[in-house]
Formats: sequence, C-alpha cells, structure tokens
Amino acid sequence: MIERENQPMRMLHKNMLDVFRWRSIFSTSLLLLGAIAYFICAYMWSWLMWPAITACIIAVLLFVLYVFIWPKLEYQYFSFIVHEEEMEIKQGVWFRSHVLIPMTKVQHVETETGPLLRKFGLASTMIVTAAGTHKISGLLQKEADELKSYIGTLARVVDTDE
Amino acid sequence: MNDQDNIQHSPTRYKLHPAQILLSWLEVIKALIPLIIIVYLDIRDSAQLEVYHAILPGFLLLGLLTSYLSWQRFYYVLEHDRVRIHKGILFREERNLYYSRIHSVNVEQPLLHRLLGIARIKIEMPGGKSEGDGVLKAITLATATELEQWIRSQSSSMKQKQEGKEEGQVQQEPRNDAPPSHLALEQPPIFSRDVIDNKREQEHDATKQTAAYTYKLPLSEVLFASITTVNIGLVITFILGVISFADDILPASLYDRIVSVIQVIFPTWWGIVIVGVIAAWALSTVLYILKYGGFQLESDGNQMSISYGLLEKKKHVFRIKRVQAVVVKEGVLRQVLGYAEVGLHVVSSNKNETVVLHPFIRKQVLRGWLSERLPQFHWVERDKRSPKRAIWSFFKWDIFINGLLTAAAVWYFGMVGWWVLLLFVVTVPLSYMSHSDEGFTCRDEQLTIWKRDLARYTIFARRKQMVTFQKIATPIQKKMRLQRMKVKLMGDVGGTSFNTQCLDEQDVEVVWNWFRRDQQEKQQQK
Repeated sequence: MIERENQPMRMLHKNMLDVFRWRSIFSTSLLLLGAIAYFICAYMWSWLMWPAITACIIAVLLFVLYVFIWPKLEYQYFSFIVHEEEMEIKQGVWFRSHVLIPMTKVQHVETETGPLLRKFGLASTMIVTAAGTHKISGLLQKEADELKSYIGTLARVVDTDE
Repeated sequence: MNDQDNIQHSPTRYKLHPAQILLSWLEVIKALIPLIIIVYLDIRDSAQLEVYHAILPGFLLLGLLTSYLSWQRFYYVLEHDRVRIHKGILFREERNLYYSRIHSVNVEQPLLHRLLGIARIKIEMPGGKSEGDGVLKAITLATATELEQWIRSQSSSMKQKQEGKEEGQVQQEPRNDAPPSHLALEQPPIFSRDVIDNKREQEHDATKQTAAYTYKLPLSEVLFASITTVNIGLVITFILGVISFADDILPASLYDRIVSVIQVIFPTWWGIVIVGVIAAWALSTVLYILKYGGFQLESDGNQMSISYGLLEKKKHVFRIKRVQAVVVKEGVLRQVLGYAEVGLHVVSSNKNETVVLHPFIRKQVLRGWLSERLPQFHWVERDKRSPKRAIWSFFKWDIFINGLLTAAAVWYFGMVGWWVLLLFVVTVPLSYMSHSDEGFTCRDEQLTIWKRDLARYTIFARRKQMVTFQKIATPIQKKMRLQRMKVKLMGDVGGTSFNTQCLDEQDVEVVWNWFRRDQQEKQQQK
C-alpha cells in the first residue's frame, strides 16, 4: 500500500497542452469576436460606450486566462494511474476530483480520436462502467491502444451482484 | 429436460395485442396536437395556414401506416435462456435479453391500457437505454402476468440449476393459474413446469428463511401520507400550467374577463398565491392517492413484488439481492410526525422514479421492518459528522443566490427589494440543518450516508455494488482539509450517484481505503 502511494501518477502526453490551448482558443475567440462586434456596433450607432468597453475588457481577460493560463493548469491537474486491481483518475482545476474505479467494475474500454487530437497524434481511452464513462484524453495513439488492451486484460467480467 | 429445451428452441413468435396500433397512432397524434389545434380551432390567424390543412391528414395517415407496420414487424420469442425481441420497419433490430441478467420486471397499466384491458411489461437490464431495454408495449393482462411469472421463474432457476426431473409427475399436477391465455395454451408443458418449479422454490425458501410476506397499505394511511406530502415541483408546474394554458388556449376576451373577475375576488396577488398553493396541494393529495392507492408489497425472501395505483397500475418485480441502495426520505412535515418514505434503487430505465418500498412508515418500526425485508442492509447509527469548520460551505450558495436575488430586486423595485433579504430567515436554518444532518457511517460491507436538502435522506449502499468512488475538493476546501465524496452505483443511464457536501478529509480517506481494500482482499484470496 505504501509502495503504491509512492508510485507517481502518470501524466498526459505533452502535446495535450496544445490541444487544450486550441480548444480554449476556439471557445473564447467566439466570445472575443462577439465583444468586438458589439463594440463596433456601439461605436457606429453611438450607443452607450462603457458596456461595450467593459465587455471587451472582460473578453480579453478571459481570452488571456483561458488561452495562456488555464491549459497549463488543466494539464497539470490531470493524472491517472492503473493498478492491477483498480485505477485512479485525478482531474479538475477548481473542483479537483479523484476517482477510484475497481477493475471488476469496468465493462469495456474504447479508444477514440477526433480531428484536433489526431492532428497532434493523440487519442482518448474511454473506460466504460455501469455508472458512466471515464475518459483519459491525450495519450499518443499507440499508448492509448496499449492502455486499452492493458485495462482490457485486467478487467475480467465478473457477476458482482451476489 | 432436453426434450423440453428442444421445444423451447422451436421459435414461437408472439405478437403484441393489436391495440398497440391504436396506442402508437395516438402517440403520433399527441405529437401533432399543436398543429391540430392551430389548424382546426383557428385560434391564430389561419389565412396562411392552408398548407397545413392539406398536410395534416397526410401526416395522420402516415402515422397510422407506420403504427401498423411497426406492430406487424414486432414479435418476441421466449427461448430457454433469453427473450428475443424483433422489431423495426426499415432497420430491423433484434434484442436478446438474458434471464440471468434481468434486474427487474415491471408490469404497468396506464389509464388507457386499463380501459382497453391490456398491460405493458418492461424488462430492465443493467446499463439500459433510456427507453428501457425490453418493452412489450401492449399485451393482455393475463399474458403479462404469466410472462412476468415465466421470466421470474426462469431467472431464478437460471441460478439454481436444480430443476426436478419428474416431468411426468409435474404434468399431471393441476395448473394453478386459471386464466387461459394464448401463451399458456401454446406452451403448456413449459409454463406449468416452471410455474410449479417456482412455487416449489418459494416453499423451499419459506421454510428456510423468511416466510412469504404480504403487506397492504390501508387507504387511511395513504390519505395521511398524501396530506403530509407537499410536492413543490407539482405545485409550480400546476400554477405555471394553468397560467400558460389560460394564456395560450383561451380566447383573449375570455382570458381578460377571468383575470378581471379574479382581481375583483382577490385584490392582492397574495390571495392568488395562497389559493393557488392550496389548490395545488389538494391536487397533489388527490394525485398521490391515485398513484399509491392500493399499495401492496409481496416478498418471498428472494423476489419482491410491489404494486400500486388506482387509475394507473404499476407492478415492479425484482430480486431482493439486486437492490442497489435503500433511501429513507423524511420530508420536513413527516419528520415532525415521525414518519418516513422508503425508496429502493433498482436498475431501471425510468430516471425519475425510484421503487417505493413503503410510502409511509413509522420511524420507530422502520428499523426492524427494514431488516426483515432486506436482510443484506443493516441499520446503523451515524459515526462521522460534517466538521464544524465545514459550515461555510453549506452557507456559500445561500449567500450567493440570496445576494444575487436581493441585488436584482433592489435594482428593479428600489427600496422594496430589500425585503428579499427575508429569504435568509428560511435558508439559514435550512443550511444549518443540512450541516448538522450530514454524515456517514462506513462499517463492514456497507456505507450509509446522511444528508439533507429539504427532506432528510438516509442512504444505505453496499460496497460490492458501488461502482466508483470519487472525492472532490476545491483548493480552498483542500487547505481546510475538507472533502466531498460521491458514490456511483449501477443505475439508470449514467448511473445513480449519491454525494455529500462537505466532510473531513481524513474521514473520506478512510472510506477511500475501505473501498479499495475490497480489491486488495480479493487479490489475496486469489
């Protein structure tokens, strides 16, 4: 048990930082564009200026936060470890959650990759239990497949009701 | 034995009751109701709506056609180890429901079904889809009862493969179920054998452990229970429903007249609110009685069957061992009177509905009664409480939401808005109580959680049935050595989860290790 505690949790692949950043850029740039559009409209039709200016400032601040700071935190606070009998996943920047999934409860494992992840050569491994899916997103495609088959062999189908 | 199996392998295709065509057509019509109203009642200006006049009959005919075809394509086969369901018009689908994996069987009779003398049967499997895995939407009641019994006996005899080989003897025995149905007529040997098998099993169980138990809730108790239940959600939907109905459907002149009449009777809006609340409460009382009237519980120590409903009948049948969690709920009013409602979590496709084990039971007798009904769950006292320093986390949402509301009210109404601060008079005691009621006990094989939102809940869950365990903390909570825990159980789509608000970090760590220990022990055993 003590040995286990000392075992370091595994991090995601470094490339995932870029993926997090791109995701943030996509989501916050919409906000930024909206704020700028609002600013232009306000300027053209001489509306009240201060709401437009505050909106722009907030949008810029959010953009900076979500593009330059948040991805690092997101990356830093995601880690996981697979033991023989259970696995643990830590995630969340503000609400830091730490979940324990016994191998006997794993129903099946899947890998998945989207266009953005694929661009960086990454994939997600999804661990499906009877009570929901846990996602480890951001491993090299080869690693994700290895993880999938590793968990697959550890998770044996057992009827756990009795 | 083998002969029997061979007979079962020969596929006999059963169809649903033809009334299903009508039922699914009605569903199509229901979806078209807004259109129908617009077209035929001419409420809104219908000059441009001629297109709809032409389209509507077409839609209705198409609906009837698809209803017929889907009925035509639907059939189910009872195999020796599973139910096979075939359906689909364009995309043919085959579904296999293995008896050994069935978690519960529900027989339901919504009002329309009851009028037509038919029933609906739902077979629930773990990880089910939202619509339920195996739903036979319309079969005669007699078939439903027999099917339910057949599945029940199959799933229990799957486990205990000790079926007797005295087939000749069995066939001579008189059949106990009188109602002749097409099922029984076409497959007499299988049915009679298994039903009797089941009976035998029950007798065996009865002598071994608990005697067969039947409980009927008298109507007076149902009445009492209904009065003490104030369904806030219902009250709100009722009021909103009335308002929107009046607004949408009634002609504007009539609506205005009603509003003015109401304004004459009740000069202030307080009057309207009070009358609305009372009306909604009366309505919720009536609905409650209609829902839980005729409540009956039967248990043979292995299977449990719960049925209730005056207009719409429902019956849940499940194995006692497959109960995932027990939830004892005490509403504010009921807590004062010393009564509680006991609910069960059984794998089911209906997210909003837990199986009610007892709608209204005295807290004093609850303990003994529960341990007799569900021997695998143990009544325990609360060991750990939420620590004193955690109290802020119970108040933070109050302060945030009330503060926001007050700010909005002051901004909108001016000075009068400050009265919104009175909300604190209600929320502060509530939050204080949810802090003092929070806690858990983790002993032997069972985790028991106490918590409160409006009502107080006591949740019993067994370690073996817990799927995942999660601890959550914000950085501030972490600094204060506080943590939240969340337990997930197998349940409806996405699982059933129970969480606490804020507990001591070390206490949660104990549960974490307790849940993990399970795995280590298994490892040692192997």
